[in-house]
Amino acid sequence: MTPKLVWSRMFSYGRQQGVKLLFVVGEQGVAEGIPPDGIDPPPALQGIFLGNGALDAIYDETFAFYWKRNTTLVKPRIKAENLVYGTRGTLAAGDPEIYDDIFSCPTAISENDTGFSAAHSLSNNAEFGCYSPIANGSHYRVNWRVISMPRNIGVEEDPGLNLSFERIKIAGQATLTNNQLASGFDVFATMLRTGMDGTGRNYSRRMGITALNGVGVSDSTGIEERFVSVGDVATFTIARNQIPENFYKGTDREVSVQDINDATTEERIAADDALQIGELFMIGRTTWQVISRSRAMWRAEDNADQVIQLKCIDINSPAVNKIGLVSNYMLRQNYINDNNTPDKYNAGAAFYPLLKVAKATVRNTRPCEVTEIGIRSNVFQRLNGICNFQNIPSPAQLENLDQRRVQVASGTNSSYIKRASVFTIFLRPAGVDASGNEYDWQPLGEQFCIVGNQPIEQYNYIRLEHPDQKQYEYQFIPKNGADLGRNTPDSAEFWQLMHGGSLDNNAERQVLSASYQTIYGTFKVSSVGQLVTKLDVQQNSEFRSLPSYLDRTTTNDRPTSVGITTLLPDQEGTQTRISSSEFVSWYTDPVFEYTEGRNGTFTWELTKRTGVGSADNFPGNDGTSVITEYQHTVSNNRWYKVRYRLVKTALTDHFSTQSFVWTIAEENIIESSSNWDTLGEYIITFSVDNNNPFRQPRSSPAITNIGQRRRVSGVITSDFVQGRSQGFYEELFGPARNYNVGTNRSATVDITDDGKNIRLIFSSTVYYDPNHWSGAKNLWQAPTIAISDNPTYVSNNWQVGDTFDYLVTVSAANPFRTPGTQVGAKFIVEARGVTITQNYTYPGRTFEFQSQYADISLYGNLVEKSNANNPEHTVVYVNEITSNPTKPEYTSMTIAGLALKASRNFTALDQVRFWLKNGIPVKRFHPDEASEVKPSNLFCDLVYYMLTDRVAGAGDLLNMSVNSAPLINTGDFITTAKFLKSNKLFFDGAIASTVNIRQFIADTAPFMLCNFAISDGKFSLVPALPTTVGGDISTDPVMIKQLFTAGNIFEDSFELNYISAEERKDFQAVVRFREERENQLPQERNIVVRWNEGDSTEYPLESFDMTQYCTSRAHAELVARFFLSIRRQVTHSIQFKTSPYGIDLAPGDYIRVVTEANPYSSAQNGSISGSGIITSATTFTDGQYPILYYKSGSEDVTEALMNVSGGVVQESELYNSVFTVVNSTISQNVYQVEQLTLDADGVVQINATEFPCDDRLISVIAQDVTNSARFLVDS
Amino acid sequence: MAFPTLQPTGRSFDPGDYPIKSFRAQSGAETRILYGSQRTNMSLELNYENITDSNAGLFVTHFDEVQGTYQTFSVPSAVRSGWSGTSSTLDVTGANAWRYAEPPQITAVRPGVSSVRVKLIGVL
Repeated sequence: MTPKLVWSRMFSYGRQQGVKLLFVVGEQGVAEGIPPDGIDPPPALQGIFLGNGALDAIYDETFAFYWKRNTTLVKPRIKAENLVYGTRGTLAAGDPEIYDDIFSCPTAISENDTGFSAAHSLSNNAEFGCYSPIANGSHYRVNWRVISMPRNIGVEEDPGLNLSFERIKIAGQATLTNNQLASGFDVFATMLRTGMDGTGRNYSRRMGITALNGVGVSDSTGIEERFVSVGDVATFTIARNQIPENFYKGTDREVSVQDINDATTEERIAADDALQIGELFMIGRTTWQVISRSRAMWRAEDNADQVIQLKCIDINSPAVNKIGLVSNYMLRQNYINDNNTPDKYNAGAAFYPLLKVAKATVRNTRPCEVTEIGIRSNVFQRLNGICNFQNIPSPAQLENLDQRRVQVASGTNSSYIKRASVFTIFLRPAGVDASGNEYDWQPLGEQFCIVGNQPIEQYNYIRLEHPDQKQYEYQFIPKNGADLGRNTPDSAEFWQLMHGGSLDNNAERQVLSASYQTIYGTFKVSSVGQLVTKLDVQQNSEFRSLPSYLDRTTTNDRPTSVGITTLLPDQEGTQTRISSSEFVSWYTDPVFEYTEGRNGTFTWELTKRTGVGSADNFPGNDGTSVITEYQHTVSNNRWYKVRYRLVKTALTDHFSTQSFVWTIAEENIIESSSNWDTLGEYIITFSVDNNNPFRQPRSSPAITNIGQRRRVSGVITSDFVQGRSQGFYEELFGPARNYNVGTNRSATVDITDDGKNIRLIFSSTVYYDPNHWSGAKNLWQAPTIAISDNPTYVSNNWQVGDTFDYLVTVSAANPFRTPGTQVGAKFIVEARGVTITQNYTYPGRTFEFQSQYADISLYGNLVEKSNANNPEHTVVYVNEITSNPTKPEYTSMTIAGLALKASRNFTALDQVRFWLKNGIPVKRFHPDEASEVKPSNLFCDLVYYMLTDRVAGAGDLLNMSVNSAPLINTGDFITTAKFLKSNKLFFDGAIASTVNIRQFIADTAPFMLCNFAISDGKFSLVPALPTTVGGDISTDPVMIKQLFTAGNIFEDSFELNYISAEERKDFQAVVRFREERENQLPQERNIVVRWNEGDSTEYPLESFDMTQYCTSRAHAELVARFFLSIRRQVTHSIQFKTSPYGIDLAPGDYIRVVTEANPYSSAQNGSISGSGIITSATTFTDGQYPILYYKSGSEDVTEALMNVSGGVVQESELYNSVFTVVNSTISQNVYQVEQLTLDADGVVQINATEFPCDDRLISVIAQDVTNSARFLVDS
Repeated sequence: MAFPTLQPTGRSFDPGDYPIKSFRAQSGAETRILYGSQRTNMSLELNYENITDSNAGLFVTHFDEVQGTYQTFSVPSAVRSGWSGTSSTLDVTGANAWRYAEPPQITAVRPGVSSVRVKLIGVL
């Protein structure tokens, strides 16, 4: 069966995700006066499926499975003790959470609340990030490699200066002038001496933004940043230029630049392909759209510039709306410079590249208090054979090695290294404001960072606690490398999300938590990770020749975030509610041995209070019943609500002068307060009204108080905590009922715990709730908690994870808690202020700065970034969480829970399915199990449950219960139970969705070879075939219950309806059913059943779906035979009216109907002349003929015998008439009564269907069904 | 005002019948169903010949009081005057509830003198 999901929450555990699911498995079953067992046993581990994979295939450490068979006994919610399989309670367990209440979640009230959580994923707008970068003036470098120039004394040391120019191509020309290069003078010596100093020659990528609104950048300016506005137009130029092939060549020197030209050409082609009209790009924090291109396509061989215009369409206010421009000069030069230091021509890797951008948007689907957003990120850089900068010799070392004639070769690096990707969150309320306008997006005020060094997905979460229970929208805005490099100070701090989790795991990971004030209120944000600065995520050591040194100190200061882990008192133990009681004795005042009037007095008072009124004034006769509810108040502040069924009972000559009195036929306790003890006695009383006619019995004092002394016979024990939040808030802010809705109040509390001080400032607003259990309408919202920034009141010796309690005494007027008791909360320090002091020292050479977050590398394809082609982040789940006004207890349900870590075994969360051995307990009717309440697979037991159960069925509607079913013919159910069991017709299935009960029973009954009928005003389920006493299908003559002939069928009432020819055609029955094996997924099977006769394969196919409940081939075959036989054998149905006298029939009974018909034949007509001569198409030989004749002038047709002799009619009274010969046929069929109705005249109408029987009155259908040889079965 | 206490000059009583319906079977056999235990639909027709116009007017006044054929009323014993049998024989079974079957018919005989005909139906 497939359980229904009612609660879900997803988790991020760093390298994997997790999920917690709560299911309603089904109803708990019969519970009225019978111990509610629920569904038991739980499914075996092998019988729990996610999709088509069973849980037994995965490690216990990756899941936890909980089962709670019933919810009306002790502890209605799933607790740790309900763990059946798997592990829980440790970080490494399948369910890492440690709370005893397994399905708790963080709400506005506390971190561990019994709130509602629903997880969903986004169908669109889920990805976010900047990707597919296009360089904007960023220069290009060739891969660094060490060019050894060993001194060879006595020979030409660098023939043709090949080695020297190789060094120049890579590292630049040092102090050499262009004239020196041209002449070759001192080139070798200089290049030898400088030892490949520097970080590389910067070549132009030959593309970039060269103008804004038509205004370019002067050659002498180099690069320039300008503010932009929406509507501005930027010019992006792809230059035609190439480095001349002979740039480094000379006599005997073959130093080529083809590799540089090829690399920059390919980049320009890629940029040209991407910058198509209409495409959107992000530059810095601004958004642009391509609006024109000067050429259809840029190709190097065309030797022409491509000029592309982009229009600014969004500046993402209030961000810094700057972009970077480069001079035309920079695009045309063969190389730009040999510097790596800040220079007016050094655009650098993070100089405002053009990027595609994706923003994720999360919109709450319901008002909620907390939104948890799960993020999947794939962030890394891959080095593809780039120089291993960490091992290259310093210039001095290289010179020394060259002098000593040592050849050196630099290694290459092909590995994954760290990359940082930063994003921020904007938010706004969902919907529109009072003016009908959408709210403006506002920044949350925090920046988040994901750092990764492997192409592996990592999972993190961000939890946002709302200012109030509303729907909000969150937009995830990526921050690109340019924004970080240019517009973010080195001291900027980010939340680096890492190893996400939702655990109390401060020992392993740091919980980050802070509150952010926005114009829409204060949002509390929390996650797991660490605080880092821009410098921490700026560089990669792989681009440095020597390690950097970090002088970094982190100081934890006073707490910055405090949350409530639970309200106090956490557990009030358990409450004991009354579930049943028994009558002990009457209680009267005055105390007197009354023998009369007690019941009448009591029920008169009861019905007066419930509005039913006296029995005399209630419509209906003796026996009329009514359902009413009343809440009795009992000593010690206890109460309980009873549902009474009262029956109007006639009185005869009663002293009260009343004709009727109410008597209690049934009473069920439906609700109660706590503090009931089993076997404890109590009294319920009514003060008696003077108008109560039963109060004055004969010769007894008048009753002034009437009641009952009762004894508790059953209790339900469960957890009970209620009213803590509002009780606590009232003590903090005062009674909300005294303030208008919308009033905001604050309360400051100083707390000292274990030598540590803290001052908390609570703020809350009054809201309106018409449905609060307490009856209070004005209530306090869950407060925001701020911590005083005055060090006088907040000590700095708190640790993250420290907990402390704050309790106050409940005041006398507080309606939410018992006055004099204590109420409060347990707080936890969630985060402390962190001060980071750091100073990086960079010895040696750094070949590329800002390499972690830059979107472009100076080394082109040698450094592949994870955002090269796609966004790096995806919102994978959204948990929407809100608190419940009262603790949900899933009353009368069997519930199950599953916590699962995804690992690599589960890539998607499929439907959960259970293989259950047993179903819900129901009342069983088979004589062998009579009066047992246990699981059953007999359809009649299910029908009885559906019609009588007050929770899952129509019991409440029909005013029936398991012990009182006046509208059900239970006698038939016993017969049917024997029939079903004897013929192995079982209902092995679950009803998983809402059904119309009568329709369901009527539709399903034929598949159990039964008929659902209403007999004598009662529902009945009867076998559709005659049965033996033991329940087998009987092939004995059927018992005819009554005979109907022309003598008792009223005239003009008989109707015969033939089934249409289409519906009487033989067919082949295709029956689908389930083949079950224990703890295996069911397999669907089909069989084709047809008549065992020559041409039966030609019959049309008709399909019957029995997969919901049929698990037996024999059952499927039996049903197929039944349907095939009915189709062939049953030809018509009849209906007629008859006298009600002597009728003793019920639906399902067999009757015999004898009818006489006289079909008209034109050949048997004629006329008789005045002399008796017959004129007819037929020659009448001598003899006697029964006729109907008509004489002119008569009013009716008359029946007579006609004697013919010699062609002449002998009877003279027949002369001068027309006649027809009567040729009667008599048919006598057996029918099965379908329906009996009594019309307005008191006449009985019988509807019956032909029930074919042979001459011995043996059912033909029963013979067919029991004779398998008459059918062929194809699998 | 009660029904006028005048002795009728003529009286006609139909005792009605028990509520019965008969059904014919196809063979012609008859089945009867009795729907009640009391005789019903009795009628009483009273003639008041040559009475004064003011007395004749009493019937119209009474007819108005009982809202025509709507309300029921009892008839005085004077209407049964001359009947020597059991008085209840001429009454509604188990009750004395009558209503007008139609408005009283008044026929002028001569100035100051009229004749009135009243038709009543018994109601259970």
